Amino acid sequence: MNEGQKNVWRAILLAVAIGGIGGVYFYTTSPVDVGPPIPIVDPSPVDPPEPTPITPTGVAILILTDSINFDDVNRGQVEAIYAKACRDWADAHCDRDAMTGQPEFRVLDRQSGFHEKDVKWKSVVTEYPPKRYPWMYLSNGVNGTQGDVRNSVSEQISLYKKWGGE
Amino acid sequence: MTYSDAGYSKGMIPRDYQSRPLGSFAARSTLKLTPRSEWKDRIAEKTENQSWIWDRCKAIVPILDQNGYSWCHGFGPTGAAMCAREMAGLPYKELSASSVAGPVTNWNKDMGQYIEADMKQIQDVGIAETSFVGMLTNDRRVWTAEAQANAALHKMKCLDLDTNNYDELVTCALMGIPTIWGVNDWGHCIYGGVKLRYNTDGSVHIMGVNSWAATWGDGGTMWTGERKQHMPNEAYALLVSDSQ
Repeated sequence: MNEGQKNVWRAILLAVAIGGIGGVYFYTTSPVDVGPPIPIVDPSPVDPPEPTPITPTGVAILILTDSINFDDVNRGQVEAIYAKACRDWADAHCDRDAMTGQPEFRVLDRQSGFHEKDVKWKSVVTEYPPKRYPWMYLSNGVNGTQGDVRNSVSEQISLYKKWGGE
Repeated sequence: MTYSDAGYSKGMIPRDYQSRPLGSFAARSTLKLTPRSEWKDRIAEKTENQSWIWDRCKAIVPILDQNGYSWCHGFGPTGAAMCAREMAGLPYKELSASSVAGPVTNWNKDMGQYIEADMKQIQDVGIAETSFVGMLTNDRRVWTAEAQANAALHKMKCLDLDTNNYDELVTCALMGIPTIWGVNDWGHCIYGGVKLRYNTDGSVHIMGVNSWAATWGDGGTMWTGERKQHMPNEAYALLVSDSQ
């Protein structure tokens, strides 16, 4: 290999190295990077790790929103939270509180914090700190999921049915 | 029946934004406003999904009746609080507007008040259930230690919304957040944003819920809009802070 050929290879290697460093730099400093993805909400066919159930017998759902910083909420997520079809599913499938008979379904706002008596829901958030909002936790008493609220009513219903049954 | 016909005294004292600017007593909302270009589609989508606040609340949250008391400043926020609880999935509890308006007027039923006073009361003291304080009472003896302890279970955080900002009211309605309104041309406080309506002329109207009984208006509700009569001048929102 003559000196000219060596210079060509040196240039190629240098370009590859710079590209690699640049890629790493972009990955670690990109403003849209919100940390490692939450594996549980990835719609991959592999079932995620199981959240600790908070109801031993039935379905419980907690959704946390952030009313002050609603910028990241898309319209599909708002519908997924409040659409009648989603609320009807929750009313029909969620476990009932022993004292009030209320379905174990809550849409709370992170800005308001938790009441001191809200040990159950507070422990969920402590164990699975949300990475972004709106965030949801679903337990069926055995396993479940947590992560982003889905982007449409149909996707949210599918998620509910996957973990909570038809 | 108009406001004057009803014989009510003006219950809401307009806020002085010079001495008490936005954010002075509660967090200022930084909601990203929904572009007007999206309003028509969003309204159609929410109507199809039946995801309006009123879709969920109209059969559960009663139309309140202040019955001549000047306590609209307590009735509006209390109605909104019950709607916010319902949207959050909390058990239905009938909350007492008098437990809010009474303490901030020294239980004087003819005394108007700034809405902020009632909002601060809800934020700092809470709202008692009607089993502790009747919905309409100016008997200060009901404000017992037990009633105050019950009120503390229903504290709610307040958001201070912009003044004369129709876009923010519409955005809240689209987001499922009921709003408390101060209406200067009425001297009155109600709550609203529970539903939106797109009109054939391209305008968008917003539904308000009054506290003059279900016999008033359209089942106790009304529609208003930008540059329309009874367009809100002040606005606030409540965030649920308990899950019981």
